[in-house]
Amino acid sequence: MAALDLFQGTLDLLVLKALSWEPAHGYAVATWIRERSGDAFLVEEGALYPALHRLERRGAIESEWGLSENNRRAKYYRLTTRGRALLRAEASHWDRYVGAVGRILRAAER
Amino acid sequence: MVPGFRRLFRLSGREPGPAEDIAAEFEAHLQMKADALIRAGRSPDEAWREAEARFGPLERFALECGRIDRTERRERRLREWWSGLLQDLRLAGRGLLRSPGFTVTAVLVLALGIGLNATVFSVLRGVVLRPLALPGSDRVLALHSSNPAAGWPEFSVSPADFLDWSREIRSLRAMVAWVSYDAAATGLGPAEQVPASAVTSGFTEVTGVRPALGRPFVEAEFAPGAPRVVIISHEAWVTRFGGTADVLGKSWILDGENREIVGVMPPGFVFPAARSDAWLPFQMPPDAMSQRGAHYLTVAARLADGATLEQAHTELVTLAARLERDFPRSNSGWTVLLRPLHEEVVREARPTLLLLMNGVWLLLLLASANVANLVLVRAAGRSGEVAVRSALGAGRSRLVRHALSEVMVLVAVGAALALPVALLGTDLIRRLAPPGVPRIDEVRLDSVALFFTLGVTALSAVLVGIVPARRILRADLRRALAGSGGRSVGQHRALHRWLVAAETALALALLAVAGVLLKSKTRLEAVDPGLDPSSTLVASVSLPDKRYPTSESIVRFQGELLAQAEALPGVESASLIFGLPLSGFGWSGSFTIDSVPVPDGVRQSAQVRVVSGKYFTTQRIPVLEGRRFTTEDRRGSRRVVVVSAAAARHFWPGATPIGRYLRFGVRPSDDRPEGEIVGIVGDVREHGLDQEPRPIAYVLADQVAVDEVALLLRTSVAPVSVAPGLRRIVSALDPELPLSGIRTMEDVLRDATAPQRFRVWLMGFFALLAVALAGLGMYAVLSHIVSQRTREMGLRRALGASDRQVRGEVIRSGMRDAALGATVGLGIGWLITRKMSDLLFQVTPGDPVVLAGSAALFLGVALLACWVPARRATRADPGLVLRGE
Repeated sequence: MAALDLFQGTLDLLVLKALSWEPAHGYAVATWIRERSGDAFLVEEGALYPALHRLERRGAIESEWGLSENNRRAKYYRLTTRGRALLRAEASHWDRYVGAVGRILRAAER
Repeated sequence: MVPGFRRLFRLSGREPGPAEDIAAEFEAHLQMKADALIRAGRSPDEAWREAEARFGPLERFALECGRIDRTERRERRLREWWSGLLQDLRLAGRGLLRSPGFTVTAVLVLALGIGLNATVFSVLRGVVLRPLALPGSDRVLALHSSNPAAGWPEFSVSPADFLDWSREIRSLRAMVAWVSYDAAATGLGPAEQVPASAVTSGFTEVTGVRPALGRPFVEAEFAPGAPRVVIISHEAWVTRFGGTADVLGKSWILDGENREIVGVMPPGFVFPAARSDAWLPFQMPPDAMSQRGAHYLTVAARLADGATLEQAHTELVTLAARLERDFPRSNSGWTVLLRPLHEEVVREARPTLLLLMNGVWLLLLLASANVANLVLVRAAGRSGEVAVRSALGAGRSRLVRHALSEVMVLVAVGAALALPVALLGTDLIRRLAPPGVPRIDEVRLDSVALFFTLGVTALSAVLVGIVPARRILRADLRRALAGSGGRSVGQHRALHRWLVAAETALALALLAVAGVLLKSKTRLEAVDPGLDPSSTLVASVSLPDKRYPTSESIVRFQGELLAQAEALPGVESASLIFGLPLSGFGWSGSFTIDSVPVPDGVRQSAQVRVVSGKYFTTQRIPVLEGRRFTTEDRRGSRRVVVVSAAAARHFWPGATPIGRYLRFGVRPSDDRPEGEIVGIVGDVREHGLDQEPRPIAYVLADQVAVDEVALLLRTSVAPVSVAPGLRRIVSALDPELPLSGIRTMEDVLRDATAPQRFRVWLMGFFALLAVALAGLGMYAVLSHIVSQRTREMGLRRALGASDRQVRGEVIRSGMRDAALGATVGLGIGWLITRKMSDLLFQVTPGDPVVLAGSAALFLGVALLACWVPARRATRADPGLVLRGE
């Protein structure tokens, strides 16, 4: 199966989801998305960072420098209350979106 | 708000720049990726290459992140600044509510200062600065005949001169002449007088305004015998004709003539400054060209395109010089004076309004100084608090903003309250203004005045706020902390004292100006007008010449009116005069004595007043020599003249005029003023109480018929109580005749001094307000100083200093500043009054009595302002004070 392009909004949603467990640095977020998707997406790891900074600007996440498990300085991102609300809203929006597209496609097959 | 997370972060050190931050973040990512790959068995070189390849274009992502971060920071700072500001304003509001005395005082002081400023600016703008409401009004000029040598620097224009000017001057596009009068309007309810103007054909082109409804006059309507037409004002259209469009073609009876309405002017149209309800075509008298000596037209003109006032002036003066050569008898000495019409209209009002403007500027400065003083005193009491905040890490800009926020709240509330003050003020000025202030009815608190107010507000905010803010930046923290606050006042006492001195100076300057005006007004009102205005009723009667075409019909009507009026109960005597004293009306002319021709270049002229027989009795003007008019003097009998003392002095110094024969004018006619002098009466200051009496020749109304007169009734009861009876008589004699301008002679006199009273009231109000403000400022500062020095004073009293000594010291320290300010203030007052000598009567600018009186009044107030805090200083129990507050 060929790698999929990722829409900007979708990447934001995945980042929020990745951070919903615990605060993480960019590399961990990238790893998390790659592992969960089974390498399905064609995404440069660097593209994650504009998404992170944009979410931070919107107040969905906030950042702090800390030490990684390997004792390296890394910038940790953490979901804010507003970020959690955003995740819920975006996730439900996504579900309805996928559902609707799916229904249309199935109807067309018939 | 971003919570403590970020703030802690920020407090731990300087925030790194976005670029460094992003580089470090990317670096960490690549490092961790490479670490992971190395752990998976790659060589370090390979691992780094792989990590970079998977990351993608590093520079592009860094740029993108940088852009986002910079926007974020900007937004965050703005958000924090705003929320900080709101917080400061809330704090300030709460702080102000805790000291209501201070707050109310400061807000009122600001509201008055700003509000009065907006008021006077509105008036100044409405009356003086605003251009006339005519298109291209800056190109409209006023033209006068001028004969400076004869004492008439500014005079009306004769029809012949006007016709010559309009024919020959190229630099003027159009010229208009007009005569304004009151016309009797009948046919619509009771007869009444309406202001009317007869204008020449240049009216439309000079004003540049066409009727909003209907049409302007056409050339043919200015010809003799043309159909009678009239253009009415918008106001007359609405109030008298119901504002309906079918008014065109209707007729209006003016002075007994049926006139067809052909146009309605747009709303608010005035020309040049006073409202007229009817414009009629002026018909040049057939003998206009031979009447060069009769000056009675008012003239305005519009400059031709590209022409300048200087060109018009040169052309007119050249023409006048030619006319002088061609007609030496009538035009000798006459030239032309011209100025922009706007200047003409506002000339009289300008000095008064500029004076008021100076007054309110001083007042606003004073109000600002006063609030600065109050705020300063308040800030000084809180320097401890500021030091604590600063030690806890509040930045300087934050501290300054905090200090300014209180001032901002004060000024904002002050400005909001200033609006009603200004609205009330403009309304009051509109109603109290003396008669004759041009365009005063149109004065509104307009938008420019509002913006001006806002500008003034901003200015006072800066003036007021800058002082405490500067102090914070210079504050010595350690000393403030150690001294448990309050101690730092001493080092700034000099500033307080300067403010007190400045307030004193401003207040005393205003007081001196008001004092000089007051003395001038008192002097003016003490002037003997030469007549007795008490118990006298005045009304004007104007006979339309259509229904009173002959002198005999006028004389018959007036005789009948006087006889019936005198028979009214409560009336002692009744008389008529053409040219009522102090009314601004009059008639002057040159005359011959015993028919001896007057040599060219000699001026021999006097005021002519046409009176009925009992005039001198009614007005109680004394007969000094000879006799007054009697019932023997009547139409057809020997012509008689009575002259005033000034005339006798001027034309017959050291000799008696009685028996000489005076003759005015050149053309013989039944109504020419002439006759043998039979008596001399006392002088009357009929031209203005501040003017020397002019020579007057009185002639008899029976012998010289005039159709427009003032009726005077001396009564034994309250004058206005005979008015209804008078109305009845007039409407019984002629139902179409309006009776207008009913007032007492005392009103006429009061109107003559109205401008002086207006100036005195306003400046007096300003001055008293200024004194109150300055006193308040002194009181605030001294109270504060006393409260700071309670401990020291307690100590000294415990050591044996008497209450008197302590009190004296406080008072001395306050009065020293007041005395310094007073000296400067008297100087400023003297400088201002020197500039207003033309507003003064029998008072010199530096009048010592006024200056000393002002200084005494002010120092009295200052003494009171010092004495109250001083007494407080000696009230506290020294024991308590020493044991520690």
